[in-house]
Amino acid sequence: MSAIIQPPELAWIWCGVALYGLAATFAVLAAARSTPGAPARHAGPGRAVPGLLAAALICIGAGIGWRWQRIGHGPFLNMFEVLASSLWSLGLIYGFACWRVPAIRRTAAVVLPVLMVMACWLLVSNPADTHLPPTYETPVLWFHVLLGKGFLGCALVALGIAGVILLRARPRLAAWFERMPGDAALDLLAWRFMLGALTFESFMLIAGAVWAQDAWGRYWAWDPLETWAFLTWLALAAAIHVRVSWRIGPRLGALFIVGVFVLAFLTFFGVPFFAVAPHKGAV
Amino acid sequence: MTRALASLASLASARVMLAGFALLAAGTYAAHDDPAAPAALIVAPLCLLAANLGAAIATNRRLRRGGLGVFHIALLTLMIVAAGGRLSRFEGRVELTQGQSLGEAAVEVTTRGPLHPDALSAVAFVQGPFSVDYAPGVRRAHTYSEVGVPDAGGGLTTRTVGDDTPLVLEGYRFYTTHNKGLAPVVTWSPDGGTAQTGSLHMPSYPLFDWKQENRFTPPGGPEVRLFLRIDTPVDDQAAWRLDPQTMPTALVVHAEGRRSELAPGESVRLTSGTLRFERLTGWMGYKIYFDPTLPWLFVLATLAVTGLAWHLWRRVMASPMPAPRGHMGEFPA
Repeated sequence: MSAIIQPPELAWIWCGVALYGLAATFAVLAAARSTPGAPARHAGPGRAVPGLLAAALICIGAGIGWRWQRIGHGPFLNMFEVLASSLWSLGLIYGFACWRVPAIRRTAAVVLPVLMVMACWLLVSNPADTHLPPTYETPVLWFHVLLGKGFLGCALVALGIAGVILLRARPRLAAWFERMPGDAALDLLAWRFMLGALTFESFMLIAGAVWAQDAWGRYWAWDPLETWAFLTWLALAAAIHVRVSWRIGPRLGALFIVGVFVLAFLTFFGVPFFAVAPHKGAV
Repeated sequence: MTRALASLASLASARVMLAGFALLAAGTYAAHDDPAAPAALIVAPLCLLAANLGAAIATNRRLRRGGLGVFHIALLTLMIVAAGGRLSRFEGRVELTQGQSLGEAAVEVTTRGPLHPDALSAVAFVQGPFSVDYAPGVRRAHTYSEVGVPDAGGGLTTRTVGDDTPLVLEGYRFYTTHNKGLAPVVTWSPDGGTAQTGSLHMPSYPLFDWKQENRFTPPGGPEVRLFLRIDTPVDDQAAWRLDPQTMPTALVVHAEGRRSELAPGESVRLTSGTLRFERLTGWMGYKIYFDPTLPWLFVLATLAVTGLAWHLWRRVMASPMPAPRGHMGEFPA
């Protein structure tokens, strides 16, 4: 009987997942310990979140880099690779957004648990080595993937803000996010990130079409991923127009953002779940 | 005049736009769920959205200015150009044996728009040898298909085509596909008649490596069943290269109740003539795509989203980010 050989980079990635788990736990604990009206404290679980997030990104990045060097191509193929690279890139984008917009740092209690869902999924996905089809050997793939990460990253930040708006509407959770700006200001900020998401997704679709034309001889063929990416784009565009046309309240707007993010999340990770590989059938 | 403006304003309303989005989403989902669904499920909502967008641009000055204007006007133009592309597009496939020229009769048309200019007859090239690399696990990697394209000097210029490296002639793009196989070249020499040479397409290889057989009836001769016996079977554990020219193969001939095995250059005598196995070549299946609007679609789509990004950037730069209440810039402590 032969033993199952695990890829050597897994230790780094599992370490990163554990650090993600710690960061998420600390972020939620810190929010739960917030007391209405109390001054900000400079010690406590929340202070460790940036460092834990940075350490998690370093570990996962090292694991991805090791795997890349070992198998000769980037993390583009199976669910394990897509989840690992998304966990890394979304964490990086969220960290960057927190650095540039300090007002959103307390959304960590919403965002990091969402990333933990992906991390748990990563734990049960198959880390087998993959083969890069020749149709993936194009620089356009890089643009397509990076723009996709930018899209989901912007949507994730908006989701964190929307989550805060919705959660603090509940009396029991109101104190968790009391120190954040008011709902109107958060709503404005969240929709700015949604506009960024629309821009990134639109560019992603263009890069994908350019890639598909030379890879498979058609720029658009309504394969499952293309169909759901287009439906996500439609939902995002519709939500933005609703927000602009009717000036809906922050809570309804937050619900729209959650809906669009769920659709985007299912498109990114759900469609490949039943289609096995991105753009299955065309590979 | 006032009534016309009112109608235009109604058509430009956000409600019409949202209805268009909803119909398009429903149509897209239905078309995805059932490929046989009528194209009108997508085309009709797109027409409604184009009319809505055109009316909105005409009636709302904000949609004609700055980055937002670039986005909406380019988006409307993109929809019109994409419709033109649909009407003029051509899609088809063709299988060519080594040495065979592209002929319009051999092309199987899968899509031909009503405004397609029909320039395929002006396209000419000759199929040359090809090879396909496989990774372990019989996973197809690069395809290298050589074709000869007539040049100005009356000769042929060799070009290499692949899955991701199309041959583009007169706007038609030819891509290699997974569909390719082996083609033994045989000569039938009837007693007292003129010899004829031709090739037989075997089923796609290595997809049907277990079924490399075909049959034909030579003029004036008996029905002949042909099998390819390949001496180096597919190795699914190692990387390998499919190259029909170098494959050690025997042609097994069943005719008139007899079985004969022929190496390249050998013949078998039948009652009314002689069948000779000349050599083994291959055939390559191509996908053909024609859409004259492709560059314009790219330019317009890029212009539209650049306009959107410009608009967003100006908005972000114009207004400050909100600050948290109390202590600034800390994760919760």
